Amino acid sequence: MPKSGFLHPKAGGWQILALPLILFILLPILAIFFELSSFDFFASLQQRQALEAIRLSMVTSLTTVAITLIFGTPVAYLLIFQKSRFSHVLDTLIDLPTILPPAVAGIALLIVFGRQGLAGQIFNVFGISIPFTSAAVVMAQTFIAAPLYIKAAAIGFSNIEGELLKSAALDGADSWQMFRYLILPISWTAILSGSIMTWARALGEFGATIIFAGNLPGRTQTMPLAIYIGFEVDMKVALTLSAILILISFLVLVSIKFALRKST
Amino acid sequence: MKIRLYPLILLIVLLLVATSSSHPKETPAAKNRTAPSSKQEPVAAKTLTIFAAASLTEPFNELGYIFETQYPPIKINFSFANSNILSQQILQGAPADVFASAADHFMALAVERGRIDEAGVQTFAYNHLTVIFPINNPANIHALHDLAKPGLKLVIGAKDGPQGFYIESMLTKASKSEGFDPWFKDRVYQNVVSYENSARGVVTKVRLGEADVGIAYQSDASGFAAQELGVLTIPAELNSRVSYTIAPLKDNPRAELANAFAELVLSPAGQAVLTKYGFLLPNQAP
Repeated sequence: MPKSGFLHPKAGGWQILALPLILFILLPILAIFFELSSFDFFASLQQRQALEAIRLSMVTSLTTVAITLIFGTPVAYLLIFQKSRFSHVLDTLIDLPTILPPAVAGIALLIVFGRQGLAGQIFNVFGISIPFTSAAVVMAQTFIAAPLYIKAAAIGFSNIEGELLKSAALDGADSWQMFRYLILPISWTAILSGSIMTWARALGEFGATIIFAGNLPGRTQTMPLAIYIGFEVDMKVALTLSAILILISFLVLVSIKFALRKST
Repeated sequence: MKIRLYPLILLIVLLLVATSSSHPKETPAAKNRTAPSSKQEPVAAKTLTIFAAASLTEPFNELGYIFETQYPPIKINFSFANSNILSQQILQGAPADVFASAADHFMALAVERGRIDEAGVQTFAYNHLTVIFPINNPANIHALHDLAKPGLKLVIGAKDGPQGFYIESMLTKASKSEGFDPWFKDRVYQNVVSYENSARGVVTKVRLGEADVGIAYQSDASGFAAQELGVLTIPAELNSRVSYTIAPLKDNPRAELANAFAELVLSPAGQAVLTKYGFLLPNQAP
């Protein structure tokens, strides 16, 4: 193969070919901040709708992360330390919600947990109705976002060598000690970056939320919903919330890169 | 070994691209298909683009079918959405030929900004608000008062959308009238569990039984949804009259066809279709 020329890996030709897509991705993101400079960011931030959406988004997405940590860690554990012939099936099924269109997730949740739904009818007997509540928002977010944590934690756990666990067991460590002093220290970066990814995905959840939880300011109207409804009404609020979400997403990516670099 | 494979793969890919792109052009069948249309007008002239309020989806789809059989080979391309969104798109230069709006305000906006000639605007139908509930009526809705029952799950259209405006006006009138307490409006709004993005979303949530009650357009509560919904008529003196207007856009090369579609909507045949889907006609409006 020739060592020089337009398409040599080090040649300038690639920079020109790469430019259109780079611009295509960067321009819309920069345009939001450019538009923002034309009005008072802090004034629209103080509007009730914006504040309520931010508060609700933070509360629900952090609740989602907490629930995912508590109930997702055992799933990741199961995937790695108790391999069976069902592990592959489970592994694939866990991935499904991340690939599904969120609207499908919303309808599926409604069919199960809606008032007329399979589980919803049982809840109804106890006077509990899930749709149109903040709990429904958390459920939609957990359904969509928890797999990201489970997969990240599972990869973290898989880095722990079996020999290490065996020798720890020989030294008389009980299972909690193994988790606390062995597994957790080794895989904490995976757990952290998985949690951050789940948090970010939960913050951005839209399709499942609007179908399963509806849209009510202060109760189920998270930031993405406020952006969608808001852009018909008040573009400024929509732009302000968009800018906040872009900044958070950026920080998330930077912090994950930082955490991963530190661990290697 | 790996390095030697790349030129080979590249060659195969190039060959595939070359054959796939050149082949159809050279086949006589394809030539025949493209020839007649290129001799007459560009393809775009054969499509009539109609921006219509979402509540018009069913009757307009049916009218579109009638139109296409009357004017072959014209194809109709519908864009159904909330009227405020459509009027925004038209103001920004969207390539629509006809605009059918669910509220006077949004048509007036397009006239004001020079996209539509006021002389061409015609009212072709009316609609009313109506209260809908699941067929088994879980919350025992029997009168408009019941909308203020504490703990009710009510869904309505977005507060700042076209429907929200009519609901606000209806509730304000009710709060001021005899038989209602002055806090009626506030108590109703307190029962809202979701502001749906469109009036259609309201119907879906009520049909599924997730909400106890919703406020929809009368046309949405007719047709195939009617069997699954209970309907409560809002007293005429409180109800808002939603008027539907249609107009061709200015400076349009397809103006003749655009006018023909508006004429079809206003013709006896068109009005019959609108009646079928629960709309009121200009000559029978209260």
